[in-house]
Amino acid sequence: MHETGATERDFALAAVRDRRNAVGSSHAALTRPITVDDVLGSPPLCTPLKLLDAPVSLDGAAAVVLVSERVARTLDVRPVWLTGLGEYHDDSSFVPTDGTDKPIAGFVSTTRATAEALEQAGIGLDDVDVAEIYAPFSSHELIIPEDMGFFGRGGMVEALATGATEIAGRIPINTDGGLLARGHPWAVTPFYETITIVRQIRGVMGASQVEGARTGLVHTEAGMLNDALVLILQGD
Amino acid sequence: MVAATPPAPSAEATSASPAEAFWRGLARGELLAQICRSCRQRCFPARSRCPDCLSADLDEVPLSGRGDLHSWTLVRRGGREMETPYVLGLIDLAEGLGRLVAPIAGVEGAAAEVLLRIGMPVRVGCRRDAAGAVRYCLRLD
Repeated sequence: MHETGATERDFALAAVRDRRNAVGSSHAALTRPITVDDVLGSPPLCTPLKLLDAPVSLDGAAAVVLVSERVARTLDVRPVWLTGLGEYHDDSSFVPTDGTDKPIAGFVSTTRATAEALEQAGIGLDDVDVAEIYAPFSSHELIIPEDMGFFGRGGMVEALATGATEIAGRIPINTDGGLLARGHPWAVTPFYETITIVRQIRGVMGASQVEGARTGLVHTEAGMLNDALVLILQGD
Repeated sequence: MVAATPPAPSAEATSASPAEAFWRGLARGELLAQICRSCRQRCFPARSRCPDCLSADLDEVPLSGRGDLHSWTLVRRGGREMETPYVLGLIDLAEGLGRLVAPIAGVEGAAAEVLLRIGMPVRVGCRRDAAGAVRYCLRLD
């Protein structure tokens, strides 16, 4: 907030977007729409975050089946291809404490892992049609897309205000409600994210379908967001 | 958050592990960093090997304990064993070696908004918790 001028209201807009994306979902935990005022008026946890800026902690289960191209071609499903993978583990956990030069409103890991995944897939950020990001708190919904380069530092404030990350926006993010609304059974969350991108590429996301989605990005983490893993998934 | 609830070594510990040297230093009122005898790299917090050359030959070196407040939060829903609310500060150590997270002593609840300013000078202090274990905290000048 100090670094970008983002406010609690901006964080709330991310929580509202996530919840709206979960409306009508068959598997999201929270599907009742909320307003900015609902978020701002929810019980404080740690300033500036409040209850509705936080994820839903619950149990969950999910599975992703990874097979070779040869096997995929024999199956009666529309395959989605893993074309890029990037990973970077920064040597400082959650808040950079290994020096005084790194900003706390950014993750080196996300930037590096995203660049590596895009390079491996041979595409650019502009080619990504839809992204699922591991944002445990609404503030991360602003930080992570900026780390990736979808927006400049601080640019998510305008992006949220103008709907750039909505289903029909320039880069739809967390189209299934994300950790805040879909839910966050933490070790399962990366699989949920992957499944959502697979469903987007297959065109079976229903109300949350991104028109013509062909290339999707999955961002997940280990540690405390200081270790990022980014996948690029693509359709035929 | 790790910094707010460190392991609680006894002040009588005789082993000279880097962590124990740190806690014993704190009990004396010293905030200790390390300096590598091999490559002269300084590091904080205490560790068993130099992050630069991996030498295990590290010496303790006291820091000023001063720093600037980088950020803070008023914690209303806290970790186990922590009585809420409390205020956590993140400081940039004056020597530029790193940052440190700790409760800010003497700043109660809503007073944080009034008393705290990003960039203000703070110093690392020593306190004892209810069980008598040595903890560090931040104090305003």
